[in-house]
Amino acid sequence: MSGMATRILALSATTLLAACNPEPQPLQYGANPDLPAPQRGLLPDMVIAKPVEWGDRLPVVPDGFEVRAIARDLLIPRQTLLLPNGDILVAEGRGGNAPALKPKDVIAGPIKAAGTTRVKSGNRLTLLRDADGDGEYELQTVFADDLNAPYGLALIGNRIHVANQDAVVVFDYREGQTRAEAAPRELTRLPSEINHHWTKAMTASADGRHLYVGIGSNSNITERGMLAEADRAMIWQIDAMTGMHRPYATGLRNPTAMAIQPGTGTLWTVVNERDEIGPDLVPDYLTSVRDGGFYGWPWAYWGQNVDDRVRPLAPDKVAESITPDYALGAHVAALGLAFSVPAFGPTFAEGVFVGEHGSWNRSQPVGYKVVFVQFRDGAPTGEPIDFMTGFRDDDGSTRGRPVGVTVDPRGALIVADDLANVVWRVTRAGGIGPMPARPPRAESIETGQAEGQGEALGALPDAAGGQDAADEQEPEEDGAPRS
Amino acid sequence: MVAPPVEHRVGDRHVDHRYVIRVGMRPLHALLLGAAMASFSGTLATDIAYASTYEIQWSNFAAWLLVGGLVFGAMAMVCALLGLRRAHRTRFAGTHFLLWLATWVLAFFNALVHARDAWAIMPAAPVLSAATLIAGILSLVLGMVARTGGEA
Repeated sequence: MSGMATRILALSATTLLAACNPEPQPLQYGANPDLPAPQRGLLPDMVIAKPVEWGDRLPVVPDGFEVRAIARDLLIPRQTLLLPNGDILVAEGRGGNAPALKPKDVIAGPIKAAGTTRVKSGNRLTLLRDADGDGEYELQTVFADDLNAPYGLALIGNRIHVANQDAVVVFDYREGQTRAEAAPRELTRLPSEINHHWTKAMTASADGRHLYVGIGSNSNITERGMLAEADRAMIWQIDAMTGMHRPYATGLRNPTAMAIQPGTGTLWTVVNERDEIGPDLVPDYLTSVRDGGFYGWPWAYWGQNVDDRVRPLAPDKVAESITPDYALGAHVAALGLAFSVPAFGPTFAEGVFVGEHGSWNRSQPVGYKVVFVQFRDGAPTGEPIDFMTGFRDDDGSTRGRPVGVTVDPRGALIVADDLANVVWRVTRAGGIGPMPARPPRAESIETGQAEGQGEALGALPDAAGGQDAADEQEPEEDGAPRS
Repeated sequence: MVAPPVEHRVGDRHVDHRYVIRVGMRPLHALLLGAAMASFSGTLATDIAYASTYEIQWSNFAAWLLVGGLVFGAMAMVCALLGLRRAHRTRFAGTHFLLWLATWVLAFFNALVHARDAWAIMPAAPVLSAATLIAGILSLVLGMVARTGGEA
């Protein structure tokens, strides 16, 4: 069946049959969302983004901020990494090799794909540089290619870690480098069979000893069988030196972004929850991650709410399911997470930015924006504040879809847009401050920037700073390990 | 209207045709109905297998068998429609068509149910599969009866 015929068939059927789906309620936020009973009509509601060009329009940012595109024509940018000299690495690609398993997959696959970019997977890292600090990233060059759907990025010392969809690989890095010198070495393989949820989010621990990698489930709700879920729906803790790993937390359906909380060193993640039990279930969430914690998937959601679609039942697993910290709203598809810094001004000084890719299965679409969740006393509070909107119009025209967000400690937010294939940078109007100064450290690793590359960095105040993260207590303060 | 008794020779015996049901259906129609009914039977069998083992692969088989049943069933529906023409009418051609339409619609809704994930298809899936099968059998039997004893 051609894609068009499929779409027409599906759309007419939707009109007929989606009537039995419940009307969406306002999104539920925070620690105690009011969850309705699970419901599903004969067809799920599907409202797919209609991609259109940005033209000369820009995303909408709060008063006192400005936004500009710092890179265009990328090949599906997902996550970004800020390097110590201010350069930005962009992971580009599309992964997954899940075969169509049921008739539904054959029909729904092309419909969902219509709401994403047509560009082929880049499978590469692009480096962006603003050498003179004017906010214009004049250099856009390929740092490394031949990767396999890279997503998570983390810098520890002089090593750039890249989470491909099937392995963590490592590049040696000298400050100022614009091209990897050699093919990366493999630190560890990652579960990649089927890869229904292929994105491997990654961040480094505050002390730089470990990497955390998010491995999404291999299904919505076990429809590929329980065997396919071995080593899935969990966060691995990986020893950055040896590649040895252990499950750090489990039952996290699709942990799509992670970040370390400044000061406490606590790991936080955003998780995309399950579909097809109604427009208001299950809220995607933001949560701190407990070592050894189990967060419910597949047997339970939002604490101990049983998901009746899973057999055999496991009451013991339901009983141990931890309730997440903060609901972001059902189906918003949170894909980016970064802790803020005071340089963003009073409203945005303490909290997290969350990139929301946007829903595809809700009659009133949600997400399609970057929100800010304020923290008080180290915990999320209040309702999310819109930080970057204008990605989608009410008529469905969609110019972009935010993915990864990265905080530049000078007071800038870098946002990857995988529909427009653009990287956005939001700064306070009137420019940003200098890179926070870091005292030179005795244990600085040899950066070896002899071959002229160091000079290019001279413009940035901290270009000489070493990046040994081993002793860092407050990573966001000085920029060591980031992701 | 009762047809006059007609005697036929079958082998060495004489048969009183009043007591014989003759298959009045055309071969292609019968073939397509058979294929659809085999698929629908398979759907029910695999639904039951999933329900009793929790092995998800049975559920995948059920979903695809149902697609097969819908495809063959749609073609059989065309035959049933053509069979409504006066020259080709079997005795219950109209009822056969309507029942087959009902079978197909049941199967279609069953396919939507089978598009749900994992155990969410329960208990609707085997119930609809059984209903489809029963409606199909009724339609099939009625469709096979010839117009009159003598003429197909």
